[in-house]
Amino acid sequence: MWAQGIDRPKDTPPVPEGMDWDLWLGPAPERPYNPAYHPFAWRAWVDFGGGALADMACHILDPAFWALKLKYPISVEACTSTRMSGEGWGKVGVRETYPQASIVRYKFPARGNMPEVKINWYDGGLMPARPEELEPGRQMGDEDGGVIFVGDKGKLMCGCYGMNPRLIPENKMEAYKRPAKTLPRIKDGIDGHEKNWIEACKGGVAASSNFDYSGPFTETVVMGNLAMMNPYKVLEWDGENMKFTNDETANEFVNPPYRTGWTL
Amino acid sequence: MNSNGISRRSFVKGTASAIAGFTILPRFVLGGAGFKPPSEKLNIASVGIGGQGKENLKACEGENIVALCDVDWNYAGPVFQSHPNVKKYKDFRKMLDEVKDIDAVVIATPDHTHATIAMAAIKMGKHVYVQKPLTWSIEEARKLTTAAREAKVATQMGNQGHSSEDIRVLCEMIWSGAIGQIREVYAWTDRPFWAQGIGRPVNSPALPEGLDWDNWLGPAPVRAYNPVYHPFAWRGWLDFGTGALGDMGCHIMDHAYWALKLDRPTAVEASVSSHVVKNWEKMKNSETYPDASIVRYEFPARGEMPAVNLTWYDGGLKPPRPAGLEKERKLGDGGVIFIGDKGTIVEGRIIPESRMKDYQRPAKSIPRIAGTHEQNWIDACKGGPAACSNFEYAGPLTETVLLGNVAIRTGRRIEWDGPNMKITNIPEASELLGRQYREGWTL
Repeated sequence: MWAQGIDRPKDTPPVPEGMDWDLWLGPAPERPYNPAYHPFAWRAWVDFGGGALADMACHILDPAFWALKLKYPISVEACTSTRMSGEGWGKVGVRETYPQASIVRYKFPARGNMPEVKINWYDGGLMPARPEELEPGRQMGDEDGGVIFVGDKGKLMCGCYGMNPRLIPENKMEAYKRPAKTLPRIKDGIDGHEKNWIEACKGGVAASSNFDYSGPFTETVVMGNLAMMNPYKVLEWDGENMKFTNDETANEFVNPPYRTGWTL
Repeated sequence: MNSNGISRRSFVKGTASAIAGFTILPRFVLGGAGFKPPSEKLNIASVGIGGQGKENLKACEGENIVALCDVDWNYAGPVFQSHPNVKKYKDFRKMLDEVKDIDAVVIATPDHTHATIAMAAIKMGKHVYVQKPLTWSIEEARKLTTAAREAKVATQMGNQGHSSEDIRVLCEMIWSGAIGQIREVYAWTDRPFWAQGIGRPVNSPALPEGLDWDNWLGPAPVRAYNPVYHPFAWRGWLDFGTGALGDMGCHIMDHAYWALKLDRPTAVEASVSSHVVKNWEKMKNSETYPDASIVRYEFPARGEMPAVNLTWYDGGLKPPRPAGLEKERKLGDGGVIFIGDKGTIVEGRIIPESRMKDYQRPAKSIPRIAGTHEQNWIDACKGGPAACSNFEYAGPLTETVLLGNVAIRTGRRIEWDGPNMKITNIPEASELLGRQYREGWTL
């Protein structure tokens, strides 16, 4: 919903009154202020945001990550749309912004009684193949995205935020009896997420998406961006040691240096 | 293919060449206008000679080049200069009208003018070599194929890979069961190399001297000249080109189309990259093809071959790496992956390479093409067997490729009644099968 696959702006408008551009930059490399970054479209820029993937995958892949008890992937591979400048063989936005569209393919190892599994991520308008179980005219996922789980005994589809999980086709869902509720529910559901954290701050149980869960999950998501920077190659990931084992170039992006004056 | 070098498709559909298949009579013996014996030279005219047409023409230099036509006399300049005694034209209609002894026409103009030029030639009984894709629209491909069949002229589409050794080896491998039954195919190209996903330019630079813009437009709607269209990047524009898919699909999908004996798909769906022009606003693009696309075709079972899905990727996207591909082995800039129930072929080779090395290729059963793709057509013009990518084959191939563009433009799954050339589930999408020609142009 913001432009990706674009080059860095050349104009340098003045920093708006009331804004501390240096603090906005924080640990990122210095560059002049431009409204192309702030307040909204920083998401597109490699130095600041994480593209469509980082913006939405922490919502969309969440049900896959939780339901399939995933942790670190063993490999990741991406291919990305190219935007030609129209001048010779020039390409636009390479490594400045994320691409307009991408496919990221993750592979996860077997976990307990769950087998090895692949996750294929599509963004920027691209979609997975329509499952033949889906009724003609029925939307895949919802308007914000979705997930299709392909099992050896059927398929399950949900929307963004894990909404409305249903076996497909619908007649299979109608015939299905949901199991008993075993997971504790969050008061007010999707609208209670902040309160869930406030309660944890006050000594309640750990919040539902605390960093022990969301840390490895986020690592997995943003790893897709490293694959986009180094496309068409299966990058093998050693999650515990936080490095790619077969590509030193890709490792340069794992922990990029901070600007002077900033540490972690 | 049978032993006479006639494709299954042309054989089944009862063309003149198929009849020759039974009797093995060269066509000049059968008679009919325009088939010269091999001892005589053809009189060839060439339309669209500044780009790929220049290469096609080179391969025809053994014949008499009797007329050259290009709407841009600057772009065509070097070819005109190397043929100082050949008549020059900007308008193919004038050329066909004035030069009476043309036997055959080579057409290498932008996609949107292939059909009108080829049809005019065919209706005059001339043999035609037409660059790929055969036409800009599905309707044009169907009409051109029918017209060529009725006129009994020799035809060839310029997908020169169809004359190669490699495609024949691939077919022989697959037909001899090298990887068993195939239900899944992937094809891709790294094109476009020209801008797509852009809006119409607002500037209107002066028309370069020597360019007949009206004839460049041909049957397409009128718009101002701009160098973003001519001479190269028309490929990206809906009104003129057929995008990365049209440009490369007739080469790359050709391998699957022949080897899997494909005919009409039953359904096709596509998803494409979107271009955001400003925050929260996606370009509603009615001008160019998208930067990148995925197109999924479904083909029904054919004889002993099961139903198969073919997925196309372009604009930087590539298919998933198949199981068995060596870790460090990269997929090329374009190619095909066949997933069989007994193995996988990637870019013409069984994987892993160790298995390919142990593989004994089957005996050569498909006739080989001696010389160039153009020569293969010239031989057909002189009464030899139908050229290998004659329109009976190339027409349906082009229609299939172009159906992907219909899916790209509608953004919806299209159910296709190929024999009747009908979209059965979205009637309003039918307008994308052809178009209303500009006044003064017909097919």
